[in-house]
Amino acid sequence: MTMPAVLDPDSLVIRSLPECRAAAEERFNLASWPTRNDQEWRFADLRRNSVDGFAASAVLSTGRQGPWDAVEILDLDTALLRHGERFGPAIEESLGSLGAARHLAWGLKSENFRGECWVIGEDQRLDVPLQLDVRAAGPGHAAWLSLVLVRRGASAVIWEHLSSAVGDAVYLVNGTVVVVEEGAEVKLVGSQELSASSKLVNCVHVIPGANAKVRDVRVNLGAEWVRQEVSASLGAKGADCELFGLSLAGAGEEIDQRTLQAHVSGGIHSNLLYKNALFADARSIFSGLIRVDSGAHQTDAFQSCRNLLLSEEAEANAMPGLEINADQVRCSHGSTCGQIDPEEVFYLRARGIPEAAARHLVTLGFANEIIGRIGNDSVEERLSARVEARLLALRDQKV
Amino acid sequence: MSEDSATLDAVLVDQSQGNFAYPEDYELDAGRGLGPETLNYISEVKGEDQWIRDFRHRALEIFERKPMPTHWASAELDEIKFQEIRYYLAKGRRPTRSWDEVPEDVKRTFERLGIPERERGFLAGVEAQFDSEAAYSNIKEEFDKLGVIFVNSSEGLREHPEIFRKWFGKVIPSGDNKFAALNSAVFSGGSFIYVPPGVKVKHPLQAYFRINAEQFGQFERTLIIVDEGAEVMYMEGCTAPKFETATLHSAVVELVAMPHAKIQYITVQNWSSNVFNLVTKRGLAHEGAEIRWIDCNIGSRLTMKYPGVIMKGRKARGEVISIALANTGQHQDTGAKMIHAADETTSNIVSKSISIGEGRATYRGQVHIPKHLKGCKNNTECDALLINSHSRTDTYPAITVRGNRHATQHEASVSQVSEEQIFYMRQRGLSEAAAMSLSVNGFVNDLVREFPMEYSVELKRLIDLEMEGSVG
Repeated sequence: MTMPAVLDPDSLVIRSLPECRAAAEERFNLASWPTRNDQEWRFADLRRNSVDGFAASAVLSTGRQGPWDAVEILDLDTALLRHGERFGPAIEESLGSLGAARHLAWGLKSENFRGECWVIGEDQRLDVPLQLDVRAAGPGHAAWLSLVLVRRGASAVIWEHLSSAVGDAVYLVNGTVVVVEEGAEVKLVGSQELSASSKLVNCVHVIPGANAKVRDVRVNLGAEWVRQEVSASLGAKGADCELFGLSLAGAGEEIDQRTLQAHVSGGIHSNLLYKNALFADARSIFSGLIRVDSGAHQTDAFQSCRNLLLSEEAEANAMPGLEINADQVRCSHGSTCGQIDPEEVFYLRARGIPEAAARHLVTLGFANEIIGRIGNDSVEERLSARVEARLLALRDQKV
Repeated sequence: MSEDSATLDAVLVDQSQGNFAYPEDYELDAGRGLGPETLNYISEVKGEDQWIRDFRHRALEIFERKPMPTHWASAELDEIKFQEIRYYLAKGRRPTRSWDEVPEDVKRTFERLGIPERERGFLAGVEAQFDSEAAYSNIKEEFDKLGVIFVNSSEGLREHPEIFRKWFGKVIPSGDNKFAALNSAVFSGGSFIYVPPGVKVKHPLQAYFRINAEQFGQFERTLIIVDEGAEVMYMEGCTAPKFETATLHSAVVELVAMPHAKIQYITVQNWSSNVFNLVTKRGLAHEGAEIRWIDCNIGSRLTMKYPGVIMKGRKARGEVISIALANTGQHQDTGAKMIHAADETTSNIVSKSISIGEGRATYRGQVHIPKHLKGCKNNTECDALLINSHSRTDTYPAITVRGNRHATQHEASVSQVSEEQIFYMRQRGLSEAAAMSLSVNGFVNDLVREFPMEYSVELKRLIDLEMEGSVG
């Protein structure tokens, strides 16, 4: 793979949907499918990411809840015409930059590629969540791209939920770019309940402006294979970025997550907490990187990955990374792999709760820590119910 | 006037100190470059058996076949010019037995390096390595009585094949990585040690290494076998003169701890800053055995070293304690590898690195707990200290856990010397540099204490030396 050493920022501006497709076509041809020596795919089961046999035949339908009337909804062509300079580089460069460039480009060059752009107006404060359900009816592949622009001083809660019908083998490519202007605040929740035979490539890129706050929460409750790449471009003073993740996986499933907290300039705070509960022979891969560029002093960056292994066959791989090129920084990362604490189970059993229920409660508590971080009661309540249902389904699963 | 000259005297430190270059007069020299004939030459000089010759040639094939690991490692590796390196040099064929027989110029070099004569008497056996052959080796009588074998690699393979052949190249096969293959092809020197069952060696065994010829790499091979219930501590200290072109040091160290044995392997690495130090170190711990790597990297241009322990028997224990100091022009790429292969095995990694100036320190680690095991535990701590604004530090751990009966935790932090600490010490009259040095010594203090006395003293001095001129 050869890439020009210095990319001309103007060349990354996209002004229309056809330009976007052409750029994806070009990127697809430059990138390559992962091989064994790819550090970006370390520990991944390379038999799973193949796109072979998926035709552009999955049908996407959307449903909405919440104050969408208050939001400017643009089709991708219009959005790129108006805001191409802000979204273009993120679509062409940042999404998929942690290894899934070819998968993402494969989705975006497809004829079965759809998406929307939402603009939250200046100083507009939306406390009721904007909920978008994207349902895929298979078999085959489809791509969905969400572009979010949160104007100066605005605030919003956005919840995107992906699903596919039981038995449908869908390969979904999903990209989200979030641009948050000065002083604005956004809570973005991306959850998925895809069928057990579906695959998902989900790439998220957030760009917070000065004194802006971004919180991104990824919740994986389904799919046979998930490749999730979440990156934050942190270059505006006073920005605050929090990245959370929860994955519950069972028999035959692999959750492969790669994250990047790129501290380009100083005085920015970022925090990351990803949790995985693994049943049966589920596998998880977490590779996180905090990169502090030279000159990005006064950086505060944290990263943590917690794996709960609930069966003898489950496997967790963690690669928490740091690359620090500046001083006067506070950075730390941690990673743990463990089991349910027998003392916690004992405590509950002493109070008359049967063992299986006790273990379920402890696992639920582990998962709900992430749901509790969303910071919106309505979303938390509804997602928590789904998390509980998923845990009950996984509990009795055999390999 | 006299005051001026006194100041001048104080300023004009003898700059040549530390440049331990002496005229070279080697009796044996394999010439530059690498090929089958190089291996034949080495084997001929050493009078090696056919199986060792075959082992070398197989390793060379592997070395030539394997690509450079630059897909994850530093691209600087490509600057090594294998055909310009001399792969074998020796002062004499056999290691000299007594101190009196050691050549005068070699003695003088050791003097410069500051190995006190008294220490040699105190320390049980001294294996002083000069270039690729042990220049001096002396094992006390009591060791012979105990049945402890402490010889160089050629002697070990020649005189005691029944002991060493079984494990030679087994912990680290030639195909493990490109540099292990290179070492397997051209190894010479190093220590082979065998400790019989139940013998607890009281004094640490020690070997000093050094390089003296330009563009000449050392490829020592160490194999330590400690039998059931026995214990040993081995110390390896490196110091090298300054050269202008890159030299290569690529050692292979294999440790075998039989059931309930204990091995501590201590290294202080202080190669000059043009040396590529690419070392493979691994131990195999049987049931109830313990292997500890205590590793300190101060010198070299690029060090890549990830001491490992394979915990093969129940309740085996592995530990890596590592200190790395990277100054401008240096990259310390160090870490640890813990492979749990039996129930109830535990491992611990504590790594501290300090980056000064434009130095770069990297921690790279691997912890692996495969399935169908129970009760395995790993604890990893990595702390990095950055001294200047262009210092760099990276951490790349990889942890794999299968099954629900284990516990691992990994923590890493990056910080700098706190301004408050410095302020506090300056208030009490310390210069900024002295305060900084004290603070850095404090950062690694709990690890430095793990080293034997003389090493920890040496270490503190080395840290002071490295900190000179880094602030202000």
